[in-house]
Amino acid sequence: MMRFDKIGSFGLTEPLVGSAASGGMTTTCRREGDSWVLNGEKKWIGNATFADINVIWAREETSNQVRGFVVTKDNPGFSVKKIENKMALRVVQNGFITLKDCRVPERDRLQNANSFKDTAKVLRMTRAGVAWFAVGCAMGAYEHALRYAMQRIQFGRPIAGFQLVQDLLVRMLGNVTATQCLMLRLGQLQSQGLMTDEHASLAKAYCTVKCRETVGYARELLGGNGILLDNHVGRFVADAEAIYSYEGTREMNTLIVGKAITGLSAFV
Amino acid sequence: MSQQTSLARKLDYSVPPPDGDFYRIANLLDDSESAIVKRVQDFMELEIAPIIDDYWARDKFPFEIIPKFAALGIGGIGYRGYGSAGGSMLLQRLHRHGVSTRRFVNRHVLGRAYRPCGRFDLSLRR
Repeated sequence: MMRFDKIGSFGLTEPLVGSAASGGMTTTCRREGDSWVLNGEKKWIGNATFADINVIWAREETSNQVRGFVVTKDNPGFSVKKIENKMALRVVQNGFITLKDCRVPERDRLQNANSFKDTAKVLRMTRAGVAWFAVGCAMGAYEHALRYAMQRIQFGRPIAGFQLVQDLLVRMLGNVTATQCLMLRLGQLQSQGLMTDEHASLAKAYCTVKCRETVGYARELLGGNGILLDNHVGRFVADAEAIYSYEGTREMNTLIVGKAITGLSAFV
Repeated sequence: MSQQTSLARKLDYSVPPPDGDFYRIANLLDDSESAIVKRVQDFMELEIAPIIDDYWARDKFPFEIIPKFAALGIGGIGYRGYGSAGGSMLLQRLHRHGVSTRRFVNRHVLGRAYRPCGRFDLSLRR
């Protein structure tokens, strides 16, 4: 997989269970001899329509603990269809997976994944990654907007020289720079083995909020031309909606941080 | 002569190149890390940027880029060992041209291995 000879996907989210995955997963698994039998559905699974390997998370019927399994695309109990008509991340092929008496050998069970706490370790990593996505997306939108502002002529001069346009550009640059510096420090914490769930959650929540704001400023700066896909920023606006919500919504990541700083859980 | 050229000459306006790395965060990387980031950035600008709008509009995935992604040697973003490239700065560079293609790599990396100790690492000098 490191060489992209095999493509993978990560199947956690379900049609009826997103934020509540930790305690409400409906995809089940049960042991039968040397195999496990999986039943359930997964939704929004990126790459699943063509992935060779799908990591599927399921709740064990007897223990109620979440376990992880490697399910190959040729498994007779595995089927997938593409989710159509998305407005965001349209290049990503998200799959709706159906598992029907999907039989997986014990050797393909993730041996170190014995509860949702282990799943959460992965989410900590991915949320930090998504925060970086947000920084890059915002940076790209800012650069597109700046380039446009320097080329677009109104009233006989580039709009980059107008006060309100510079205000938008500097707001964008402030967001980009601030989130970049935040992520720099998060990277240091991660390198030192000190990054916690709440560290990653704060980064994910904050950077995606700022990204969403920044791409909106970029679209605004481009005016009507900002809704043309040829000018790119409209695509950034649409895609920012997805990165704002996935990998833990802003709300869920907020509650993770809230619990950490107050000691009080406000999840439900 | 284009309107822009005419105006630029009239105003003696030299255009600074757009660069979102205002505080020079990339300067914190060492030479080998910078080389990887540059390789990725060049790839995104040469291979992805020219095609991504079209694929996005058509709700299609550019499968032809998979071997090209493989040639970048970044399949192990966020992991140590296995010859991985490490480095979270890469994630930022992959997203400067939009989020979609990076999401493909992200989903692939998540499915690649369950490594709860996987770490994103800016590889700062210690």
